[in-house]
Amino acid sequence: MRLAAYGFAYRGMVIKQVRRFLRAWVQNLLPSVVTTVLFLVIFGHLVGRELGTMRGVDYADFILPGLIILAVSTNAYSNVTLAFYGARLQRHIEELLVAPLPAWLIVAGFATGGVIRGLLAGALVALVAIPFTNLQLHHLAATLGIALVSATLFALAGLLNGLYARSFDHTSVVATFVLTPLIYLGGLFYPVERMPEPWQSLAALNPLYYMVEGFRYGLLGTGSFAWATTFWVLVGTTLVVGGVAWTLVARGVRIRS
Amino acid sequence: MMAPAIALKSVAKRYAGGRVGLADVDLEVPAGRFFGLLGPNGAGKTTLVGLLTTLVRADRGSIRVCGFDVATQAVAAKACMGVVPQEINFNSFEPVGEIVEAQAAYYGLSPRRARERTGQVLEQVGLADRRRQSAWGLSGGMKRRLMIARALVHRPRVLLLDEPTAGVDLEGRHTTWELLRALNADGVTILLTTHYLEEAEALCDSLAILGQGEIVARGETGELLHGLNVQTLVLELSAPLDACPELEGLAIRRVDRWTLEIDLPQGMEVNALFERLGVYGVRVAGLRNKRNRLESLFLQRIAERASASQGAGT
Repeated sequence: MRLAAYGFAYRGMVIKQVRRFLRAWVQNLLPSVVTTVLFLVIFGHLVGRELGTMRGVDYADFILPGLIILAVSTNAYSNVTLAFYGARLQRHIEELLVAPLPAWLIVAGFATGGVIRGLLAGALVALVAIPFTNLQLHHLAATLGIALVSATLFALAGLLNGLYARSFDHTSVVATFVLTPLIYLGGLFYPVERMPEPWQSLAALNPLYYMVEGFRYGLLGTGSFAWATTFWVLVGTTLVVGGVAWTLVARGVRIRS
Repeated sequence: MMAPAIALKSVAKRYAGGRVGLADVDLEVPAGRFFGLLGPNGAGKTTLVGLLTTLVRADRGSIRVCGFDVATQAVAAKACMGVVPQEINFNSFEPVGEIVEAQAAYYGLSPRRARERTGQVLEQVGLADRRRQSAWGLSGGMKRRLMIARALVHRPRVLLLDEPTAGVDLEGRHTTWELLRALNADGVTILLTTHYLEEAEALCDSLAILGQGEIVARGETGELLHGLNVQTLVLELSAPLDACPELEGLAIRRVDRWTLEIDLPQGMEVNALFERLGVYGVRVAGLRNKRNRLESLFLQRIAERASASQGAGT
């Protein structure tokens, strides 16, 4: 009986989250699409012609997996950060806190909203890339698995950001100054093996490099290492971040007096 | 024996910075009561509601709602409560119906049942025609009613209302009163905090007055009011009076030539007062209490509490 009640509550939370980002879909979904088209036109076609092929594929095809995973992760992250911070700011987080909901369900509701937006943004980016690239699907499980777990990881990380943010500035700091540079430096635009040292060694320390490479394998069948390793490392990291988020929400950090 | 709807035992809360929220409060509200919680700003009313709803964490003590411990059986305790907070706390960009339906889902109602109940409670609070409208466009009073609808959607056994009629116009306040009376008549236990003392006197069958985090008075509303030491009466005179009459044991003030104020001590009947005034040729055309009786009690107990604190400090 309680399980059914939790199911209805989870459904209610997810619907609320999805409606929230769809109400402002131009602001929430279009920027990733526009940025991708610009990247593909400028770097893929205009500059890419000069660059030739990378790992045996056109340059536009090479950068597309990174652009998709960039859209997935940043959308998942910012959706939950803003939703959670907004709920704290306007105090409608209290609607959830006074209701008979365990902390894990609240975390799951917010995270799922972020995952849906992340995957939707990724799908839109893939869709608009069709005229500019030879979009392939080499390994379905790798593609979907890495996209899903990346979206979940970033959604949960976004919740931590939303929990600790003290102003709207704080909601964009991590995405702008940490995540985006890490993805750009994680082999999105070039194969890391072609980079000079110390950049190549530094890239090996960048967790997002593995995410980009794993997803690239899923689409193109080319990658520096086994996609399953990437997948399980991402799953492990997601469980750790999810555990931290659950603990903080259960303890009421920043949301109860 | 039926468990009390609300039970606090030795509950204390001190906020960061040292401000006392509640200091060792014991309180029981039997099921079915309409209980009023009064006190000046900062007395601890909202802290007490926060502790019941788990939005505020107690430093020590035990809190039970519907027999469930809010610390160890939070899900069960919260399932039987409905909460109307003091501050507007819904997402104003959402439509009215979606706000209530979402809350119904959080309490485990199926989508079909949530839609039905949303229609019913919006009808109950007079917002049925606003269901699809964004909450942004509602007036202040309507927003308060929306929060009441949201709190009722899962049919709570205990309803906590933290100043639910603040800023609501007179008509809206009376409509809310009728709704709350009807809910209480249906068996819902209500805990109401309010600044409007006439509201508490009109609605509540029992009361507690909080001062600086402690309960300074509690009991049945009628008994508490009966225990008033003094009530101040305003007399409108039939004929003008040039001098203030002096009656032994009575404090009388002449407000103007047509009006007197008299502090009537506990135990003295108004008839006896009129007889003594009649001896001096004073004829009374009209009579009213200067303050609401509860206001007098409130001020008296808060003043007593303040002087006791001063005495303890010296």
